[in-house]
Amino acid sequence: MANKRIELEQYKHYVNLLEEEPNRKTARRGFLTCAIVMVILVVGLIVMGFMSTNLARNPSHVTSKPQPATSTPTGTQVPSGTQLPSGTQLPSGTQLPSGTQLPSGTQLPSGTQTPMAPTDKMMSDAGPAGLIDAQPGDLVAQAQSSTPTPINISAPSTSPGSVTSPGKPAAKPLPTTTSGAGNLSNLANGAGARGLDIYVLVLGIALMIVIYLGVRRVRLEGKTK
Amino acid sequence: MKANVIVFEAAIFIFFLFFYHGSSRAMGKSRNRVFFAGALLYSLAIQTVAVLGGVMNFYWYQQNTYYKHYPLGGYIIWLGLVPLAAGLLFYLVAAMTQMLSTVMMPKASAWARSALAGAIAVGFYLLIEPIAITNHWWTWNLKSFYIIDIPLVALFGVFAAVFLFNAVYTLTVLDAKDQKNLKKFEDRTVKKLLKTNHHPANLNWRQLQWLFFYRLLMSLVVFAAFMTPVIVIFWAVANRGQIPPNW
Repeated sequence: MANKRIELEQYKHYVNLLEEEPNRKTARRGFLTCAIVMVILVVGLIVMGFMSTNLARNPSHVTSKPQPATSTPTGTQVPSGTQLPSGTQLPSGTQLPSGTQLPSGTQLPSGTQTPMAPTDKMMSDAGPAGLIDAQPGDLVAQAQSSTPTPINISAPSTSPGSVTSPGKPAAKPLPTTTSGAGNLSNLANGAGARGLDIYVLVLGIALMIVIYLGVRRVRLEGKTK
Repeated sequence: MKANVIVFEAAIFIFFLFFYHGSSRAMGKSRNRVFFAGALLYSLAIQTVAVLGGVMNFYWYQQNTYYKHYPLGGYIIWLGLVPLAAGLLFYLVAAMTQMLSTVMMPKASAWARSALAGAIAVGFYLLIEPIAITNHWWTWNLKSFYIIDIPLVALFGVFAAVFLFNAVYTLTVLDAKDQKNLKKFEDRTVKKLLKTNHHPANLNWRQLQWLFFYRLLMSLVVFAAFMTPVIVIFWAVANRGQIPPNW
């Protein structure tokens, strides 16, 4: 009885071993499957890298908060004097009136109508635009309230998240965007705006070579045995 | 077409299915199962702490306005604060590097093999990170030293995580050994719980699994001890400030 139990225990151990450590041929095939999957993943990442180049060229894109797509649908007219946050992407066909401030990093697609250089103080330009669809009496009403209202447009003085205390001279905070080698856009805009493509391609090929070295070892092992 | 998060998540899920099938054959079913569970829990623990500590976040995809930005919304499956795809990506990289290091340096020590695995993993993340941050798959918020908008802390973190994970896996599951400096501690804790005093090589599979998870937990402490001075050093020489996680 005791012998039978030992035998069963050994048999159980053998089954475990088979499950834990498959034979070398199966293991080699499994490794090849994994290697092929990872090579395809690397190729996929290279393609995604190429697709991301346009976004990466924008210096503030990585750290800018994206705007919801519904805020500026195609063909939308942005109201006069609107301040667009940094990194805003405008859809094609958007009309920008004069006075709209465009910060650095704003992407303007083709078809966007931009005004002349904005001034810090501007007059309300409802007049000329209002003449097109003017109804009888509109001009009289407009003349009565003829004093144009100045609109002040100024850049926000504080960066998002910064806290200013009135008493203390605050230490100069670090910017939330990188510069020089720290910024991805420098790489993306380098080498004739092909920097990121080259980076992704070189790194991807290097990884594929490493995987190939592993595959070659496994194949050699298979041939020798 | 953009390389948005749906493309990333769908690709990772599909690659994972094929990879898991292959690695089950390469490593053995039981070993691969325990490797997968360990890798998922390990990366989940590290990334959850990173999100809670304001180091990184996946939060854009939790915001309703941005969620509507994409046709299918943001990440679909979440494990708390971290999307499943991020954990699966860690598994893919850790398992591939483990197999590659074993194949390329079969006679080297477990530490040397783990170091090679960590180095290859850094290569993978150097490829993934620029694409990830450009497409906002995740965002780095930490005040730190950045190169091409990747914090060097992240690369050290990937190396340390893959190195420690592979070392624990090799020393516990592949070449089950008692660790001299841990033996007394393990005898008092995990082996008491498992009601055994055997050498790891003589433990049954269930006990070995528990020992593996226990050692992974211990390695998280080592990981934290390694990363703390790294974070402090790069904090001191930072070239980019902290971005509030919910700005």
